Amino acid sequence: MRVSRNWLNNYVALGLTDSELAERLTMAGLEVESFESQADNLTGIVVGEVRSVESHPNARKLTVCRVFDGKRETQVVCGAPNVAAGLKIAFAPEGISVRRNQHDPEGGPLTIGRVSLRGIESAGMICSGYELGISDDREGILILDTNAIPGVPLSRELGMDDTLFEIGVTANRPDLLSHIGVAREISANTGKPLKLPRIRVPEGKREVGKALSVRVIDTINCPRYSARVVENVRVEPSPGWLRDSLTSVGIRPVNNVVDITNYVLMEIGQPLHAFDYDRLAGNAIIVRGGGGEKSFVTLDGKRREVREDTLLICDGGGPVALAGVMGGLNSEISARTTSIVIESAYFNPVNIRRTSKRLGLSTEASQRFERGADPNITAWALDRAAQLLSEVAGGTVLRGRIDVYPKKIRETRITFNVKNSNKLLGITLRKTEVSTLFNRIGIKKIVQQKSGGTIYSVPTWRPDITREVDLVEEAARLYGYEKIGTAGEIRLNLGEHAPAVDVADLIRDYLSSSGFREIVTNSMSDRETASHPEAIPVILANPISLDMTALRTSLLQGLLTTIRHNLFHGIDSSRFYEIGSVFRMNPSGDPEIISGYFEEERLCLAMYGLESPGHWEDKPKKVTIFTLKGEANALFRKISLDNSRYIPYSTPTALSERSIFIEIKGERVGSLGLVSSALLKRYDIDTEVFFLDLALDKLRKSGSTALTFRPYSRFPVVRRDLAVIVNESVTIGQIEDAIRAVAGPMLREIILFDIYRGEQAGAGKKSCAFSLEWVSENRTLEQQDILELMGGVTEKLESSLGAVLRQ
Amino acid sequence: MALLDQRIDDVRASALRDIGDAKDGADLELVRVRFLARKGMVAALFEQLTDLPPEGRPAFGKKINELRQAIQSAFENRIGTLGTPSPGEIPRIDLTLPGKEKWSGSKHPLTRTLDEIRRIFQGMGFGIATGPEIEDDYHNFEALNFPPDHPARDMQDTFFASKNVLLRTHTSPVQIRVMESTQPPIRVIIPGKVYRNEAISARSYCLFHQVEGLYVDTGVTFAELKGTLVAFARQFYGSGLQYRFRPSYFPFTEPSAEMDITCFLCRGKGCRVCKKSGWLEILGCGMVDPNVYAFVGYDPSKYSGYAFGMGIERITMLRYGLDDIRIFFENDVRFLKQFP
Repeated sequence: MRVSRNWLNNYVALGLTDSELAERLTMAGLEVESFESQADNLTGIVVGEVRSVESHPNARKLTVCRVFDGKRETQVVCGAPNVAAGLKIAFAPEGISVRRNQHDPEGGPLTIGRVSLRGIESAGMICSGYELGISDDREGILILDTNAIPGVPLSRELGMDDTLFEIGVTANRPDLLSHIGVAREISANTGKPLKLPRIRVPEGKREVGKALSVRVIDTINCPRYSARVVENVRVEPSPGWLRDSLTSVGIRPVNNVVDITNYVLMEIGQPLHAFDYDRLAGNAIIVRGGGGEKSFVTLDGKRREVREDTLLICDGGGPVALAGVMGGLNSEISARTTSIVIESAYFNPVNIRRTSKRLGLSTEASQRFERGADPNITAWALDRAAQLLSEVAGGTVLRGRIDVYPKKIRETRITFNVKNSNKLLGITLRKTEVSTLFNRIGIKKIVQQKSGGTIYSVPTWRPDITREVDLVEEAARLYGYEKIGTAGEIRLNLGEHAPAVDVADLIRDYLSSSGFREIVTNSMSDRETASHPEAIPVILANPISLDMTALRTSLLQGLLTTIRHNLFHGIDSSRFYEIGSVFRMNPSGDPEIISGYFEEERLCLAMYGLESPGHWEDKPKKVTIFTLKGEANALFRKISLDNSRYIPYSTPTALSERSIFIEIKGERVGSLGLVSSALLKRYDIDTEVFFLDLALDKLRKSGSTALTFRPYSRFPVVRRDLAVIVNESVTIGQIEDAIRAVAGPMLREIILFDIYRGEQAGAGKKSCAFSLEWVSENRTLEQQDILELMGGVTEKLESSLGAVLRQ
Repeated sequence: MALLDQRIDDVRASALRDIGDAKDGADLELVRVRFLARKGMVAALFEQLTDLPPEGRPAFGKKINELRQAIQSAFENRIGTLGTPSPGEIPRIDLTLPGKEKWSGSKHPLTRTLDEIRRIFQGMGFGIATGPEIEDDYHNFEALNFPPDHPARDMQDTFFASKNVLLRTHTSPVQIRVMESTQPPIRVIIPGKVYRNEAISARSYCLFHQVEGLYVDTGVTFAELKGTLVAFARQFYGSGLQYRFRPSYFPFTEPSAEMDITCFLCRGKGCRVCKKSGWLEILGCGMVDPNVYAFVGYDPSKYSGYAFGMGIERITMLRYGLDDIRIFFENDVRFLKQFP
């Protein structure tokens, strides 16, 4: 809501500087988002008189002028075609800035200097309206009234001494969407009285009831309908003061009738509508819900769908306005209009909001009605408009008002107990102080109860106040939030034990210390990216754009997007991870919070490029699946997942080639692998990317965070090497499993330290060398023990895997 | 016995030869260790004394002692002639050669901010709660006292998955979930991602992160809310700052407030970032509205409480002087590595 200082001054004596006023309003809950003084933009610019104009000796289009600024004459080179001796103009002397530079395509400011233009000195500028920021005219200079006095500040000459405040009005305060509403708050804050304009409507002899009938059928959605008729109106452009008032607060002037309705709207906040009386069939207004009609053309020329619950203003023939939202083209005020009906009504906020939302049509009127206008101000606003119409548009106001108000909406009465209020706020206000504060904004004390409560009556312009707690807020607001103490001591009630560190935090700490950079990516993507053979993506009904229609089903795409971005910027190696939620539809009934939707937190990490930063001693080595497995193992150890198992999975999945599933206690918790080349191609990534993906909730369930000490052996470790030749098809995993199967509890570690392929191993074979470490819990192992154990291992490898012991 | 004599002579000869041959201090030190150290050759000779009959031991003991003194003095003389080793005699290593680097990791700047906020509130006894990003209308709006068809719903542009299912627009629905499942006293903070259907620009993104706080107990006051948030702000932003609370509106709190702190970029003088006001808005807060208690089945005459919420991106941008929110979601390494 933009508010004009000059306008406010009509209702309350301000007596504050602009910044003081902004501060007071902000601290009262009317946040001033910005304010702009018109004069600030014209600082230093004065009325000048062009004393002489001569042609420039070196440029055909330029003239050399002498300008008198009230004190002295200055030589100015001017390029405007309309400059002439004797004119009063806007003069910017040397050193002064104008708002817009005519020659700057972006219209940035320009500071006037002493310059030489084609050999002639110029020490000032005769300004155009564009340069001053007060009009779009950049063709010629701004020509002032012939009576203007040289040297007078331009802002005073033009009457541009206003300051405009942009106030962020909260959704609960419809009363602040008007100058009188804001002035009321200033009055409450400063103690200066609120002065409402005196209204006298010069009425004619003819009674309004003879000219117009009003029937309200839907009294639920239209509790009050007031109207007046004005005849003999001259529809023409508004006088300057009216146009300037509206322009200053951002409303475009139309004609005097429409401008007056808008003026009253901005003054008191009551939306008015003017109909062309002669275009109302049957001289009748009927307020009802949508009947037979399907659509209706509003005055912006658009055809709008009408439903049964759309409240309509109709004449004898059909709709003439969408109640509270917008008038109809068929009854619009035109240059030929001579008689008008002014409507001043109160509509049900919910109904207006539904229509406005449904049609995507939000207007100054609908915004006020849906927040809740004041039902008891309609007559005042009507009279104010009638008064202005007779003053400005020469109309004759018919005698009396039509006012259909079958059930008066009364002020809300609320019992307020200052003890409750003080208890919630932590202060010690007295009853009388509260009553004084309330009185300033029209909340009147009705009766003091013996129980200690006080009954207050809340004016109908404050529909947000319905309960005691709402009055508590008003008490706090009027008293001043800044005066409420700041409790220095804070109660501390601690839980029974400190919560365990969450696995996500553990993973973040670990990965970020181990060369991985955490990223945060958009959870929304295009439908194709989110598509996944095992997941139906969640599709948004109202996405921002096509490339953000679906929720991510995997974190991998965000990582690939990040890798692509960084590769493009020359980062050839990196490691990233993200912890975040993924989403899918849930037809299979997995555990869910919102029915039909599945959401879970996952970790995904990805690595590409070199295994470690290049060093002169080493050959550069690229990351492989084994780099990834090593990182994964280190991570699992960190989060105490020593019971995890890798299940190699040979079939490529949607996302990867060479996948390995990770299982804990038989449940799959994630996978790792090489991102599929098809997917990499879609991201224009031409290097291998390895990824690991884990479901964190599953880790939370199975991870054991409580650590217990396990005693270890005090006896020496015996290490024996073993080399076997096996067929290529035998996996290391199979060999290790076979060793474990027979080695017994004394086997501490199996370390693969070499794989050899070549002549000595034989074609289609490989030689695998392991170190086996043995230790006993209760004795030193003897030569004989080891011989037996190694013998058992060898035998098992020979019998089950066809291994040949290599000597 | 002759054997031991022979042995003593051999050791003497080789010790004197090696001392003479030593090229530098390091070399000489090796010789000293070999002969004179606790497990050196001279010490080994002493051990062999035990193999002798007791009457022969003193004489040989004396001989070995003489040997030791001879080696010691030869050693000391040699040190004198050798002097301290000159730098040229140490093998040349170019110590300006680069070391072996590791890849550097980092936490996202938003996580850094959130970690710090969590640490402060955990120190004040707050626990942590989380909730789903896909929410229903009831938890995101209705139970937070946003009635259907109320203009307050326009405060937050919402993404819908279906008529009643949406992407949460704030972390506040988790307040409801916590209160539905727990009885007071409740003291939690709630971090998480939230979504707004707004045009993407330097100032706003379609998603961002919030931290919500909720405290419900008997006798909780607005003054206590102020005290807690001032304590937080002092710890987070520094004790020198000024702060102010001003009235605002949130459907789920009454009274509601916004908290501003002195703009730390211009120190309150007014600049572009604080829009010339000298103040920066850092959070919204208020006393939990009794209507909310009705939805979760708390007795409003028994309990009172406060709630607050702040945007992590905004705080992080202010803190590090960032002017475009989109940089958080671009994840450029040149950005990330500035937050090691």
